[in-house]
Amino acid sequence: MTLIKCKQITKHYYRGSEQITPLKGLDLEIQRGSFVALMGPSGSGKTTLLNLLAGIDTVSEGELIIDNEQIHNFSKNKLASWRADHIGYIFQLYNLVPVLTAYENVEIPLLLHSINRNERHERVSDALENVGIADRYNHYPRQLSGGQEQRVAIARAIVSNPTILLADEPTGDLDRETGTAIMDLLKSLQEKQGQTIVMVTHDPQTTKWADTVLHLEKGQLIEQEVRS
Amino acid sequence: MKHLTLLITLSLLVSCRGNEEQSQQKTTNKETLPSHFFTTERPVDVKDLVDVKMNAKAGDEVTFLARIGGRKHGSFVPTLAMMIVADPNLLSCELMACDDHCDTPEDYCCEDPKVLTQGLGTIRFMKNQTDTYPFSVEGLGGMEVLKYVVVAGKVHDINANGLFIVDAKKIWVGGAPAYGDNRAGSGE
Amino acid sequence: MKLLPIEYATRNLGRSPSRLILTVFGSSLVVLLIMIAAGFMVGMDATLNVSGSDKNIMLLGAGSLESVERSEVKMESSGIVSSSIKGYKTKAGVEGVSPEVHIQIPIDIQGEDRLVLIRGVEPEAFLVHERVEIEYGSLPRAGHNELLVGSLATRTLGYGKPKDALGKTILLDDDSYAITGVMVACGGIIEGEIWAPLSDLLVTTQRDTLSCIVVAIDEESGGTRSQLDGFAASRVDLELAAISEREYYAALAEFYKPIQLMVVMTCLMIAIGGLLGGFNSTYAAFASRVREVGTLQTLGYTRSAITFSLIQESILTASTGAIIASTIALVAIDGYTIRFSMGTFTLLITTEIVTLGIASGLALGVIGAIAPVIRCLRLPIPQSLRASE
Repeated sequence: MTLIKCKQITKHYYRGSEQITPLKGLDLEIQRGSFVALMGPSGSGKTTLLNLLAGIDTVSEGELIIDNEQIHNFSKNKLASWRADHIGYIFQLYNLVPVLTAYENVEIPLLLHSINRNERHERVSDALENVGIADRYNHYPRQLSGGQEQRVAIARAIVSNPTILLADEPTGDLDRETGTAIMDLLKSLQEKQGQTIVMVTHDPQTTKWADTVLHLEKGQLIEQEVRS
Repeated sequence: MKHLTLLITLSLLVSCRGNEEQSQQKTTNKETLPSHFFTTERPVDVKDLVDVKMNAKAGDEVTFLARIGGRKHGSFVPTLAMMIVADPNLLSCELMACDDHCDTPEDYCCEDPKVLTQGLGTIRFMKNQTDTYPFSVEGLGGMEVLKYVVVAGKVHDINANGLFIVDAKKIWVGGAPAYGDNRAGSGE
Repeated sequence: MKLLPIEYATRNLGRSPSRLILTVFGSSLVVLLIMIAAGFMVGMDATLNVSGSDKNIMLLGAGSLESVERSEVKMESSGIVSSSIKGYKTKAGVEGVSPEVHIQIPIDIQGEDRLVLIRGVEPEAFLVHERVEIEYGSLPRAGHNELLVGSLATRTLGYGKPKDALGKTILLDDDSYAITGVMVACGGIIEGEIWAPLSDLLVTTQRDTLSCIVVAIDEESGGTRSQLDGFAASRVDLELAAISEREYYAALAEFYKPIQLMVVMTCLMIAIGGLLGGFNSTYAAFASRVREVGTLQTLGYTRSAITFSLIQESILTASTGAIIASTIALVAIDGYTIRFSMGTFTLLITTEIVTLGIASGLALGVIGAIAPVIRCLRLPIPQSLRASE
């Protein structure tokens, strides 16, 4: 079942007077519950595509339909509320708020929803437990290792049950062992909860967890590799 | 030192404060003096104020030439028909062109205070034997500071210290002199 | 609009203690200076405004309406006034015609010569200046070189409490005077003065003229202001001019307006320095959080919600500064004695000024956050996410 549909998506932006086109007429479909890895060299447009899917950037031309909603027509405010409802985003550098504890960082997306305190507590605890960091509730990011920080970031991304989990090189700043653990975690989210995951990566090793690998080059999809 | 003290030495500023001095409120002259006080025919062969004052006694009928002014402010009393006049030979600031240190053109600050006092007189416009009209006469019949007037009236009081009060019966109002022509406006 | 939790704003304050201290210092400096400037104006105006009465008419030297200290009035004028004028206040045989000398004399206070305003008075002065009350001690006696000191003047003289002045002696032009009493006058300028018996002061200063004659008119007995205007105009030999006490002090207040403006401008200039320092520090604090702001936007927070939180943070800092400034102002500035050429007044930190200080702090918080917030939120989200921390 198709969750994401990109129809002839083009993205332009300007650097001074020079027009840059990281994506050119991209057509793509991603199925619900799949784990997709986006690969490609620098400048291939994979991060731009991730940003468009996350609703933090807008298409210049074409249509972007996610979960039957034409998000290319959304205003900035509507996009913000759509993001809160549908997107979980995992950053390469975790991007936790340093003045908030692990618990509070995970709670932050829930404050955008009308959820009472008890339910919030339950969901935050579940999310932290899911990522295996339940014993670090009251720790601040500076008191956590890189792997632990990324686990908190994943908990923050999944706590509001997003439609899509987007990850921008989630293991890029981690050692191999920790990276493997994080990828196992993402995979288990896909397998156990049916979570749709779209991940940008440079590292061919991490694509082994994905069931679809999309290769982009110069803003176009050049290869789609589906694994059983 | 337990208290913070901020000494603001403003004495010098105080001495330069002339222009800020409060102006006494002028009454609006809805009331006016009876017309019999004013004349357009200037008496001839009139002496200057000082020459008359020198030999006058209380009760004398006198006629003299003077100029309205003598105080840098308040030559007209704001609530009474009373004004101060000065002898024409006294030099007010505007005739000395020394307005750089004078507060007003009618200021006589360059004159010796004793000489000035001897050259001043007070003109009253009486409603009856005892009461002065209860309003300012500034502007009435053209009376303004610096202008020449010829006053005919009766000496009410006089003393050697400079007191010279005249109850006016008739007054002729001339013009104001100009620098270099001290008698312009006097009708002479 | 869903807002960020207040904890986000409060905890962000502790991110950089040195930056926080700088911002709080900047805002307290700005607020303190605003309060000092306002306290200066209010204190001076209050002193001058309560100093005059419409019923007291001052007869000054004709050319010296602007300054009683420069005024010279012939000694005999006082007797002429009381015999020529009707309708002044009388009580128990004392006439409401007060001949006075106002003079500034340098007094050695802890090794430093300070000019203090001395007023030479007769017993009539206590009838004319009815607000004057003896707070401690007794009236000075003529011929005994005794003094009555205003409660504010005791501070100028270096006494901790007004009562401490009793029994002390001070030198006026080499004559030793003993302080026998301390007076108050409802906060008027008299509280900054020293009163001596007129005859003693004339001897000490070798003066043979008065500074003014103050007449307390009694309207019920037919006393009017125009009577004194007429008297001054008709007695040109006495070289007098009449002005009501209220007009005199109002003119004095008007005269000091440029000084007040100067104080306000000086405070404003220093305050602008503090303000810019605070802005700079807030700017740096917000600018270092561009990526974090991008993250919050990615999570679904709107620009308005983030703006609100950042302004909250700025207001917290500025109002902390305002509270510190208000405390300093109330504890250390309120009641500070300021001497000026006409006497002494105290800086007054009133409830309104404290309110002004707090309101200024809040305004600073909002204004100070605007530019940094714009800087923080102007980038598109993808660029914000690439910003360095």
